[in-house]
Amino acid sequence: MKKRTGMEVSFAAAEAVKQCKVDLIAAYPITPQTHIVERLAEHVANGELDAQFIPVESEHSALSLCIGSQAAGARSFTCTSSQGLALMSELLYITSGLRLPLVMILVNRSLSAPLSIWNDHSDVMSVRDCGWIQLFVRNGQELYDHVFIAYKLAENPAVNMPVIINVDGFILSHVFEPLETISSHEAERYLPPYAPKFVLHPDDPVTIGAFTMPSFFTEAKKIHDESLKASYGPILQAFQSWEHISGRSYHPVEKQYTQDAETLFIIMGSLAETAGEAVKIMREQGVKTGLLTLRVWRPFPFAELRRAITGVQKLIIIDRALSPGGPGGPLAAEIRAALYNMENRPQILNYIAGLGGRDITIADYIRMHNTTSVQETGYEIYDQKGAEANA
Amino acid sequence: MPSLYAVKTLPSQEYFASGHRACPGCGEALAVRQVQKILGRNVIVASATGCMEIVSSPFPLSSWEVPWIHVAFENAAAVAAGIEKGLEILQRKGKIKKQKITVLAMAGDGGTADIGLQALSGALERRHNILFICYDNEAYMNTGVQRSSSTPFGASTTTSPAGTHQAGQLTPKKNMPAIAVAHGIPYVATASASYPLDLAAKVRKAAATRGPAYLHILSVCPSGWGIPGDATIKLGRLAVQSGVFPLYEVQNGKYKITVPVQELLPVQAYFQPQRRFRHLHPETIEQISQDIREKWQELKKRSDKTN
Amino acid sequence: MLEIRFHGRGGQGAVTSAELLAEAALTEGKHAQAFPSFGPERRGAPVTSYCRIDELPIRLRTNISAPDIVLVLDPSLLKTVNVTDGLKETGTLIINSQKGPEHFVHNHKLHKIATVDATGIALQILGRSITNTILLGALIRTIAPVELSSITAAIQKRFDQKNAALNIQALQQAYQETKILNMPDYPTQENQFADAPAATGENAPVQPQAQSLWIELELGCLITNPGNSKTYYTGSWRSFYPLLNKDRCIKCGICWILCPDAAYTQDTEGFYPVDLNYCKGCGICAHECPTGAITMLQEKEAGV
Repeated sequence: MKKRTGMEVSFAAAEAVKQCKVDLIAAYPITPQTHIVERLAEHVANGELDAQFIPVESEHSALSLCIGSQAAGARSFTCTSSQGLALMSELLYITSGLRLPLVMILVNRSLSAPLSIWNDHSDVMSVRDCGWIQLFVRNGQELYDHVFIAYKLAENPAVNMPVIINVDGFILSHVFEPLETISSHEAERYLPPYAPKFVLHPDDPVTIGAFTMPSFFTEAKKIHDESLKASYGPILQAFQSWEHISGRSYHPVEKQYTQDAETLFIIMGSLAETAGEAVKIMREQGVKTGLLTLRVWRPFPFAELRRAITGVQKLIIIDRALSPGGPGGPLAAEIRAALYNMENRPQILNYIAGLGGRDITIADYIRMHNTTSVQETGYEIYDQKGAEANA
Repeated sequence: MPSLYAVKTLPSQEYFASGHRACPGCGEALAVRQVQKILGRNVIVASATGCMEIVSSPFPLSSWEVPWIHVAFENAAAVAAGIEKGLEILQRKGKIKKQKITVLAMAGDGGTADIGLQALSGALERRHNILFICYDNEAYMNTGVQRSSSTPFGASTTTSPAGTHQAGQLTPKKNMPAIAVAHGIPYVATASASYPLDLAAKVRKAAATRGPAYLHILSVCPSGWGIPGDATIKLGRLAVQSGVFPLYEVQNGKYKITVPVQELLPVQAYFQPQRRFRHLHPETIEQISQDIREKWQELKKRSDKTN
Repeated sequence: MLEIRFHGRGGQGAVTSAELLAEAALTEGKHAQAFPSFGPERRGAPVTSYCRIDELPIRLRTNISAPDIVLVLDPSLLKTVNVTDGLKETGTLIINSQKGPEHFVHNHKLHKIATVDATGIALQILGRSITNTILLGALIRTIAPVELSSITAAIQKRFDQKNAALNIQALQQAYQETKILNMPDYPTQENQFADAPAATGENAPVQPQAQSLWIELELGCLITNPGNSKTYYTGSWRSFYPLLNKDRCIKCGICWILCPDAAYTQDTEGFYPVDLNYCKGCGICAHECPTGAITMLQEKEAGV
């Protein structure tokens, strides 16, 4: 077993970015993303990382700089949260439309108003259709690992797509915990130098970002969609080759206690770890429940998800974001849609929980599981107090 | 006045190809063509959204014989900054060969003085080694002649129309070159395609500058200003000769008028051919004229002081 | 439903034409719709606009691809734009031309072809070459989708008093002078190109744009052969072309450096011949030439 090191999760992320030998980092400070970029600035200032660190005047410019540098052939990185992501929004769509393989860590935080600096997934869900590969991690080790995986994947010539790694703000990003790192030699072996097919250079001029008339736009979008779906294979490959390097294996849908399960929790991000503990306790009490954690949100793992829920009677889907006035949380809405054509599809109970940093405890998961009713609206905004009254 | 034949000394090579879809007589397309001639082949262009972007890149066609990227409206300076920093480190790490490559950011007056001002200020402040060119046609021409902060006082646009209760643009033109100068950057200049040799000299200086350089080029817009397409060059000259748009440069803070004007022409000579000023009352014109003369004297004083 | 397509150039008022016609139909209690072709077209570029007229409410939100009537506001368009594209076999073609309608007969079964010298009328009455209202006079005369009085009412509503009067005068003159060919009366053996779209006089080849049917989209719609806009001939936008008098030319290069379209290049003798494939006819060269060696001449017409 490799030696484990204690590290704040944000610093682990910075360590991985450093080991990926990025050429350029452009970022603008926003809580709770700051620790990652501060540490990267230190690495550059101390000469541990030979990269440009550009402290820009806005998130909009952070991503703009990365687009420019990536188009010039430099491996680039940025990192943001919440309002910062919202400000970047238009550029997220452009980055993927231009097929620039950037990697961004999104330290998830709720969107204002009311202002909250704490964690939920409303930021990333606001750009759900931005066309990036979107991954979620559960712990510091996974974040560290997924930085390598993300670059490997993004720069794969068969993929050429930017990647967002979602990490929960504070409750994960600011936690000091143990993890294993890989050596620089292993890092080099896993991640070859960035070799883009086209770059901005006078030796071979290209035009990037032309405007299209209706005769081409649909085709361009269709290719984007097909490419994003087709990245599923390379995602599996990237996970596999990472396992060879690190010994840790990852899957688009992580399964725990799913054998003979009658009910399944489905969740994304770090709260899946608490949910796993809750499921473990319920199993010990003889309750046939299990847990699915979506690691890959885009491309959406339709086939794997359908396989994983076969035979299950009820899904308890926990969303960390709300579609106000809509069908509930985005995760549940998408799973419902994915299962619509299935025979014997399970009942779905959707909880919107953990908004703006509200804690979800083991007891909460058990309460959610023991509630039998499905609201007419198909979802419930879980606020603990109500749950206590019901219990 | 330079020799009539002197323009023949300018490079014959074109980098902004024919077949672009700018309006006939477009002063902005002409300025772009002249600028790219001088910058030559070792350049990368980051363009903001706007007329020049639309007319030069209707997929699958492109008029850019040099590497060119368009990302969005407000971020040409930031994209250029990323390219510049990307090239710098790739060269330093030996991943690409070391050579001088000019990184040019270009935008219209909206992409410079309005929506693009923040990204531009950031890039100038961080001292990126880029050349930023504002092609100023004094309104949002691409979307149909809406006012910008660079629209001159009194000009009628579709969002500052001359009506019964309002006589066109209510606010004076934002002084972008002064804003650039305030960033303490090494080179700032104004230019006009009606003075191709002056423009060429400034583009050369700007490209040779280490650190940020800012060029502000008045780009006559026949469609938006309401003039015939063949009057573009004349209007550019009148803007300079009337003191409306003086040609000068600011090198390390030192001002120099590069196209001296002995006696300013009356501003009416410049206004008269343009539909956008046609509604102005003589008193308003007199007031504008007064203002232009004051600003001209101020500029002359600054220029005399440093020369 | 009657579907009408207008062909003009950006800035010539093709949209106004369509709207005036729709307005006229509305005053007659009919239903109508007018809209432009949406795009980045610039002044001088070929553009289209559309009008639909019906007795019933119009519930279509599509472009008109099979019009009943086509109006051509600018005869120079005939060289580059396939104006009869999709025109119904029973359709009507109305062209601004000095020539008679028999010059525009081609192997297309049409109902009527009409011509009127709209440019001539425009220059005479309006003092500038704006033909949009004038063509409506020819339309009323040829097919009468609305009454002449409805159009004049629409013009009065839209323009100020002075311009309305001038436009109505021009409209009425066009109504009188329109020449109409009833195709069923026309000998069929002559249904062929009467006037091929060949290059005329000084104005060198201006080709229609080739539309590629298949393009491999590169990553991110990136263009790998930039500078390829040269395959797009903006010379087709031109209404006037520059003619150089070599006797007066001093080879100074002013025309070359001041051309927004890079249409001038120096030849081996030191002259600067213009490439009419790209010249948009702005006239800067003629205006700025220090010796007055360049004259702008009006483009000649061509057949369909």
